[in-house]
Amino acid sequence: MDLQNDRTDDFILGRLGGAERERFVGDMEKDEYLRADVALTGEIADALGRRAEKVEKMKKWESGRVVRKRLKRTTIWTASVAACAALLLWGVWPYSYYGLQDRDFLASRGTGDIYISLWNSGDYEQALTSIDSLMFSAGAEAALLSDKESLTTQESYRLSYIKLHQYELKWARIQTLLKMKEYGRACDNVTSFAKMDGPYQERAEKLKKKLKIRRRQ
Amino acid sequence: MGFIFKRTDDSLFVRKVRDRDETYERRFYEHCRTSFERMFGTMSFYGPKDSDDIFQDAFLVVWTEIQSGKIFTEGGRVFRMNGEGESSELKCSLSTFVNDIARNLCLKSARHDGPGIVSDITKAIAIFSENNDAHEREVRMRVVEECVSLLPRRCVEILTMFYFKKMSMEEIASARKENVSANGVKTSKNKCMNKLKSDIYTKIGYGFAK
Repeated sequence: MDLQNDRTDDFILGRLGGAERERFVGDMEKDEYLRADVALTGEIADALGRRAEKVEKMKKWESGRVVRKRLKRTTIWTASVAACAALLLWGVWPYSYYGLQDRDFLASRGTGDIYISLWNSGDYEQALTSIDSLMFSAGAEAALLSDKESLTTQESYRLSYIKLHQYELKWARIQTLLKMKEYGRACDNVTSFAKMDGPYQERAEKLKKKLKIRRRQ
Repeated sequence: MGFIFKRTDDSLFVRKVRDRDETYERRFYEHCRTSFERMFGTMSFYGPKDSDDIFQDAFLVVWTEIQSGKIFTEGGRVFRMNGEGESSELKCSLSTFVNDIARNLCLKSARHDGPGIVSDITKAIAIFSENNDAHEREVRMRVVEECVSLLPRRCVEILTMFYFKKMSMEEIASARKENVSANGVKTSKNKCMNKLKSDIYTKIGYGFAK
């Protein structure tokens, strides 16, 4: 039986030489069982070939699937990290003092302003107190002048100067509160300050938006 | 993506896979693979390599049945022909069907079914005679493919190496790394081949036997 199997296999696989092949073909013509066995073996060989081709296809699909899975995982991870970073920047940036301060205003202050030296020494509480007392003095003087029925030219100039000084002090107060990280109080101050006409109005509007975002968070 | 492929889309898969549309073949594979991986999580006693082999064998069975027409679609519904040639509608989705086959293959593997030998192989050959009838040829081809896909993995590998890759016994013995000689491989190959022919006879003999 095994010998017949060997001959059949050799025939199917094309291993039989000229004379031997002819002998086998002759045997097949005389033996229907041999013919059937060769036919069956041939069909089995074809089926195995078709199966092997399918297995190759499946291996290719599987490796493609694994690569896509990894890529998907990497993409999701990267997108999550990017989203967290974006949220962090969007959320934290308003918290950052350096995103809020008016650097031009700070740079333009002369040493004559008392609170400047307190800023430089980091004593913001004292600087705030100093600003508040300056505002109180200016307010008192402005009230006295406003109560007068008529003002001299000099008094008019003085009143204008005081109002401008008050405006500057209010902005300096807001900057001090930012240095102290008192964002809530700064937000309250800037909300009313932004309604006043003046050189810092635009900056005040921007600061108000940033502080309100922070407040919502 | 799984929710897109409802039962009704199985009929599309069957149509496209039968037409050998490679895009749909790949999609069908991935769909079944995903479903299998969800099921495989419960099969803790098999390792990852075993699960790959089991899925491959199960998927090949269904793929072959679709291509041979044993699984077909009609009116948007999927049907399957049994061994007696009777068709009935598939009660589950194709992916569930693949998983069921995988489960059965696991059980079969656990029972350690060895290759059986039909004592009278000549009877089998007599039934599997030359026949020019196209329909019977198609039936025969389907039976052969089915029996090949249900063979134990070891047999499939040896027979594929021998008939498809045309390797010699020595080459097969060294490729398999089983510490078996070329003669040992030859014995295994003959046993597997006889078992396969016996299975084919058993299936094709029914309804064809004199």
